[in-house]
Amino acid sequence: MFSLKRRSISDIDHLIIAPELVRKRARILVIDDDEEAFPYKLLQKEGYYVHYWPRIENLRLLESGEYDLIILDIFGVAAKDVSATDGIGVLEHIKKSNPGQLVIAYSGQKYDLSQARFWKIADDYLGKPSSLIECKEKIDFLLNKEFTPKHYWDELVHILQAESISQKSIRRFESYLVREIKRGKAMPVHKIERFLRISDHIASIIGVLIQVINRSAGQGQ
Amino acid sequence: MMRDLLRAVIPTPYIYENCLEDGGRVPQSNYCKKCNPKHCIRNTGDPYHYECKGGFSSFSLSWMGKPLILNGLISPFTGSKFSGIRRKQYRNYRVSEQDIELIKSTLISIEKFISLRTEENLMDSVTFLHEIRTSVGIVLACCEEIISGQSGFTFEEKLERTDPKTKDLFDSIGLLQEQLNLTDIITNPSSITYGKKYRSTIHKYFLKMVKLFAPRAAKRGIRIQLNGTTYAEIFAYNSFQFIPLILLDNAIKYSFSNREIIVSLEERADRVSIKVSSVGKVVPDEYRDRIFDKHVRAPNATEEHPRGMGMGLYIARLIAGAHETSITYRCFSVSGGVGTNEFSFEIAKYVG
Repeated sequence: MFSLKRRSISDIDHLIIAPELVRKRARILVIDDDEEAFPYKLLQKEGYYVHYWPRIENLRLLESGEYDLIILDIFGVAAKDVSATDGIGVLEHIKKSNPGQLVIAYSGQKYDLSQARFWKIADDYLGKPSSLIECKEKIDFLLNKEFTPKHYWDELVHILQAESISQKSIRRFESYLVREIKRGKAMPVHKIERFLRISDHIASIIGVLIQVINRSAGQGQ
Repeated sequence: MMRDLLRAVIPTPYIYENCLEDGGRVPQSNYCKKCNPKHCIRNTGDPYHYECKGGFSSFSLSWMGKPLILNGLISPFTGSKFSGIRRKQYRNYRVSEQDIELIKSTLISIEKFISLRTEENLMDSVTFLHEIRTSVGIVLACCEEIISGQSGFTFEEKLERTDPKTKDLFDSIGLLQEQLNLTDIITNPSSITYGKKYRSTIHKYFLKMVKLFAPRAAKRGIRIQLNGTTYAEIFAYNSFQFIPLILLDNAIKYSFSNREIIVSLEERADRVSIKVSSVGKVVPDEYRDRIFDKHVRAPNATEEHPRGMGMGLYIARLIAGAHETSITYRCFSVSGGVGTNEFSFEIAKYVG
């Protein structure tokens, strides 16, 4: 039988991971040239799933939504060939290739007016140094509030609207996407491209967002 | 020093901070010295020119945010009260419109220069503070490492089981860290609105600061009492925590020893009211409207602590403004310049 029921992203709300599980499931990456500056080892002890890079090791992984939350320092994290403007350039690049990527700006240079953009583009910030309790509070808050299918879907809609995709097509896509998530099926980029008739570049950005929607709905790793 | 600078720049007599000052070229006239009503002092800003009963012109300018009046002059705007003989007697007091404009523009240029140099000096100090910040980070990491060695599942549980001295150390580092963070706002006030707004209880903000300040207050026998049982939530930027920090820091600094600082939190319909009161020297009347201005320190503050930038309450005002509220000061039970100082504000409760 054919089902005519229009599905919406709120239909998968029940799949959202419980807050106490989010901290264990969400992949967090800390990028800071000073290994001792951020208490990532203590966070690991507390059950958070945290990786640490002293500098950008693989930009590809940051573009592809591999990590659910990135904690990024402003200076000394990127070689000149990666970003001419160090942390700010990296942050801009990440937000461009994966608009839904959650990033916490982490630096002791809040006083520096020339770096204001860094703090404004990021989803939130932590001053340096910050205590473990502060770090936990900020991470938990951001993950519980933003690591949800709704947050990433909103980002996705934003991109589609900018590409002049009609409201009707967006609704159809939403319904199709929810069905696929419920079935536990991945959606390849070529399918997205065909469904929405968009360029492969935009389709790959959408693909990254869908991957994170899946993960935030507890469907896949 | 400021007087010497002004005298070097202003050739005519002038009035600054209600004091009659001689100009670099022309002193105050006997007429102005003997004048009792001094109506010209009250004529600040608008209208720019004022003519007194004696027929002298005065021009209202400003210097460092305060009114500066060029007084006792004969200008092209001066009316007919000056006869030929009188005009001769006061010929040194004659100024043209261009003279006034020149003084005005010189004052503006010097003010800009001073402000630029102040900012540069401040920036140098803050850059130096960045080094201290790194060291504080190391101390904080060591302290957290010690605490994490305690038994318990979470860090918070471990902290609860830590001995009081280590806890005091942890709180003191926390205070130092917050004070360093406050310097960021001094140099970059736009950082007040960096980050997201969070829901949190007003009680939590004050309880945190009361805990952090308790060891410092105890050294002077001061007890901080947190009254009120409201657990109402507010929706605030991270910077909001600096309001309790500044108000409590000031209260401890200027409170008499062995007294009590009372923080009261009260719920009122859709708002929460906050009051921080302490006993000490009160702010003199003429400073009450200005204590929230940049670099303004009232005499009661300079007497107790001669060194200070006069930035705390200014920052508190900016942060309050970013949260659509304002802080007010009042004092009561005053006797002999001593009484209860109270800073209060109200903030909207978070409604989901």
